[in-house]
Amino acid sequence: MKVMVVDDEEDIQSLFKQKFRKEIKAGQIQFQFCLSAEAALNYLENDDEASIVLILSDINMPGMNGLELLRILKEKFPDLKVFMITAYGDEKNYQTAIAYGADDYITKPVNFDSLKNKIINLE
Amino acid sequence: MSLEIRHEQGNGYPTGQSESSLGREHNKRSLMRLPRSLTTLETWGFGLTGHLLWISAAPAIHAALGPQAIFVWLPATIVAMLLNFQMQSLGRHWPEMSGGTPNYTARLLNNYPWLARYGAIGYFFSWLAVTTINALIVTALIQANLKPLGISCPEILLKIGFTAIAFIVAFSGTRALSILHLCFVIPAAGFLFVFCTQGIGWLLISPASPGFFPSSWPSFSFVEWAKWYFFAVYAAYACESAASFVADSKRPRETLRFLSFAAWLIPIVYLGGSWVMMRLATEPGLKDDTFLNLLAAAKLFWGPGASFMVTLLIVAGCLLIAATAVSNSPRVLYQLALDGHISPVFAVVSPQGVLGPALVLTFLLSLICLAWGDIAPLVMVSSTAFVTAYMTVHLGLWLGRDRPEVLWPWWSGGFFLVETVVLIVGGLAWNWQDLLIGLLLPIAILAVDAAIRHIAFPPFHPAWWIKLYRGQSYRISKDFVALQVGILIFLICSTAAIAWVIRATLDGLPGDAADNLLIVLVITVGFVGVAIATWTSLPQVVSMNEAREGAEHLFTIALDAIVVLDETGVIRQTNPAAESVFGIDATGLIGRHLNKLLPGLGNQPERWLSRSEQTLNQPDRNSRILEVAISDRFSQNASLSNQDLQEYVAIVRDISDRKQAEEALQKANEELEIKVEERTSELTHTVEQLQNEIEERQRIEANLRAMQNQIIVQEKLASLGSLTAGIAHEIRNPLNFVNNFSELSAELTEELFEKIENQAERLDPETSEDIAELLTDLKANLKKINQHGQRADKIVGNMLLHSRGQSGQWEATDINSLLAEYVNLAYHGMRAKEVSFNITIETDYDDIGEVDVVPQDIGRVFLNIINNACYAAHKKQQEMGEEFSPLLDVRTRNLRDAIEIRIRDNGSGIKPEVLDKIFNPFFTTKPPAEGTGLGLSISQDVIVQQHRGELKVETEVGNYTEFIIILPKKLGELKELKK
Repeated sequence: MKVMVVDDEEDIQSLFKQKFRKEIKAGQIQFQFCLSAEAALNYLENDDEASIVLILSDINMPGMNGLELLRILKEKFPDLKVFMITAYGDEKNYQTAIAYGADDYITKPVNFDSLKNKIINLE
Repeated sequence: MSLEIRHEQGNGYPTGQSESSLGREHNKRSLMRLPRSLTTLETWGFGLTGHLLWISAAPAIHAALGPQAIFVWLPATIVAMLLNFQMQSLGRHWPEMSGGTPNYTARLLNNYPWLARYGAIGYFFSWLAVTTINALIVTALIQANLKPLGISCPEILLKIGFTAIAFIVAFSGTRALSILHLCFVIPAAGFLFVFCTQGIGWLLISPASPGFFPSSWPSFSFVEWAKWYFFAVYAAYACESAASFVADSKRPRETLRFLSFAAWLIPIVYLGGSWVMMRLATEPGLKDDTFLNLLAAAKLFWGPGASFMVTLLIVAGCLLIAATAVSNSPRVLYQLALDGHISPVFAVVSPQGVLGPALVLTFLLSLICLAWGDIAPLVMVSSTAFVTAYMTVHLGLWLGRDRPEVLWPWWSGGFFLVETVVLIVGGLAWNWQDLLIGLLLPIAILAVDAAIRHIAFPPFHPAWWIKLYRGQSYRISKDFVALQVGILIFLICSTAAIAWVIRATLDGLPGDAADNLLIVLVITVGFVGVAIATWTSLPQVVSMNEAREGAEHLFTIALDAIVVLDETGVIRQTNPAAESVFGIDATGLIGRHLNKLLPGLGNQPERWLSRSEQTLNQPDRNSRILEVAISDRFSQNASLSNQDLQEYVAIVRDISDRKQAEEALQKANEELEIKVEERTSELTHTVEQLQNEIEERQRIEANLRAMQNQIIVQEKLASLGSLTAGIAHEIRNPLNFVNNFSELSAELTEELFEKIENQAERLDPETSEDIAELLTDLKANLKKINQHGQRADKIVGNMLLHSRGQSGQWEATDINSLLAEYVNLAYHGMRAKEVSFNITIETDYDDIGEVDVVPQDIGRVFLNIINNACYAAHKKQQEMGEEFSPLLDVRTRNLRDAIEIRIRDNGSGIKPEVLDKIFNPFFTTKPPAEGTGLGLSISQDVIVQQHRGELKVETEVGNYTEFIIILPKKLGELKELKK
């Protein structure tokens, strides 16, 4: 299962790789990291998108933000699952994300145990 | 008083002249009005003067023309009659006007002011010349009578005397002159009319008559006719002199009526008299001598007395004409001055009706004429002025033909043409120099007037005369009777002495001459005597009359009823006010006893109170209340003590209106008081309402202030919130890494530890032990990092809660169930954290129904306080051990306008030194990792600022802490404002 993580912070890659190292080792999950929304869209359009099942996206990013990305993704790739992961737990962002069709809304600091459960449950 | 400021122009007559408007303004301010002092009969007397003028004019015409004189008199008579009717009509239109013909004409000619003045001044001059002419005639008569006696005549003295005598009388007052005039005019006019009518009768009936018609009519030229018509006009046209006195007359209508009577007398005198003279005065050698001509005719039917009567007629006639001229001429000036044509000084009138300045000018001009002395040119000049004046009269009538008061204007136009021809033809036939003088004279007089107007000599200006007249008040002489008797004695003695002298002188003379001279002297002396008498006593009489009239006037106009009673109380005299008070006319009042009218008064006046109130009962009127004041008994004349003359004066005043007014006033007062009371209560009510309103306003203001506070706090919080939110979120990102990486590192350390344990046999035990110890420390450190990261996250979370003030929605909420929910939540939250925690929960929920709140926020407050309570109770239990049983007591209560929520724990209470800080943000007594110090601060904001409630705390150290939340029920208006 291929999961794309969109976040402008590079450290997030190391965190995810370490947190899911068992699952990665076991070949259960594959991560594709993108540092911006544009890069994510570019990847999805040019590569074989079918292999990506889930996108985890930050909201607050330079350039296109996560909510915008969410809107575009849900238009172009309606089958993709999108979880928003953000430090902004406020009502407005939450409502917008739900309105755009986000499949989950996870606030930082991320509780990886529950995230793992959610991802596994997708299958 | 007769002295009054003239306040209106006669009949509001308009003038188009700009030049005279200044004078007019002046007139309005300072001039006086001629008093209406003459009786009708006196004005009639003045109106007969023109007829007497025939005596002077006729003999000359007859001497010149013989029987043809009739054809001069005939048209003159017709025009004179029409003029009389004409002036009557104009006089009715302008009854306030003095001066008659020339002044009416001046108004008709108001578009041609210079022509108007010229004509009027010509008229004035021709009349004033009459005085001099007649003085000259009388002097000549006396001279003629004295001549045969060989007595030298004091000619100049007589001329001046006869000129001045009328003026002297005139200066003492119009009234004196008019009475004197009347005394002589009746016999004189009587003799004249008898002469004319008897003469005609004699001609018709008497066997001695020479026949009514003349045997032949000698022919004569038009020039002759014009020459004598020019002269005849001067007499015949003057029969309208009554018009001059309309403004003086007490009854102007009656005076004007006389003009038509005078008109019908003209043909009797001028045609009748002339006919008699034509037929009977035919002796040769009579020439133009008045006395001889009249005597020649009169002696045929009057017999031997004729000479005496003719003399009387001539002398009286001359003096009368002079008197009229002296009265008439100043009136012309007076009215001209009033109308703004000449200097305003001529409009000044004394209280006795003397036209001082106008009289002075007239007198001075008369003296100038006298100085000239020659009758013939004087007559010519004044005739010229007279004819010119009447030309302007007829021209004015023709020009004013559109006015309803102007009669026969086209005839007037014709007369104007005839008179123009007569003036030129007749005037030149006489003497062109005299004609020229006559034409220029009015202009000269107008020049004099202009000089008077412009020279700053005090007597030329009205103020000087007004001051003179005001200062000159005639005082009644203290002993008037003595003065009168003295004058009478003087007059009688002088008359007797003169009579004795005359008799002595005349004894030796032939009968006729003596008689004639006697009559001349008697009339002259009479005239002088009357003049002296009037001059000395008239002012006194006038003053007495004025005083009497003033007293009578007061008696008449008094508003109080005044009744004069005799000594028995019978009314003798009343005034008009008495008639209206008693409702009985004077004839009904006089002779009645006052106590018949006012029964409250006794029979005998001596016993009447000097002042009392009486009721007057009348059958057909309401009873009236009268105030009666009775004088002491007094005598009409203090020097007489005769009982019969004793009188009382009662002054009666109707005070019922006053009484009624007083009652009405009383009533009105009472009503007013009631109204005032009503009004006061209304006002009180209004004040109360206002107070309520003010209180309401204050309440609203307080609300507003609270709202403002809330808004400020929320603004502060919002700005702080948005800041902290921003920071908090950004902190959460690194925290995310800190927490997760520390957790991850802890796991990795664990894995590493396991792997080292598996390989422990390869290492020396000491190293293995060191590694294990290091890894254990490392793991513990990572846990600490994670733990503090969690703590930071918690702080950030609370900060975010703090800033989220506006997020909640107002809704009606069941506070009891909300409270129960959060009690449960808090209990389980504590239980989850601390396994050892337990607490007894007691609840007592009152029926409080639903209240409008923001449930999320209120819930957070409940949670906070309950957490604190549980924490405190649990803490105490940890300190005291098992014997302490923690207790949470939660209860609600329904107050009237609010609900009360009490949350109580039996923990160790709050120390007094921190009690006032517990609501401060970031203040906490919990250990660092357990509290953020924001809970109660947020709670207070929510309860006090957001919900307008109260958050109080009651505590006792070691025993309990109780938080009391009071929430108002009615938050509707607050919600409205919030929106």
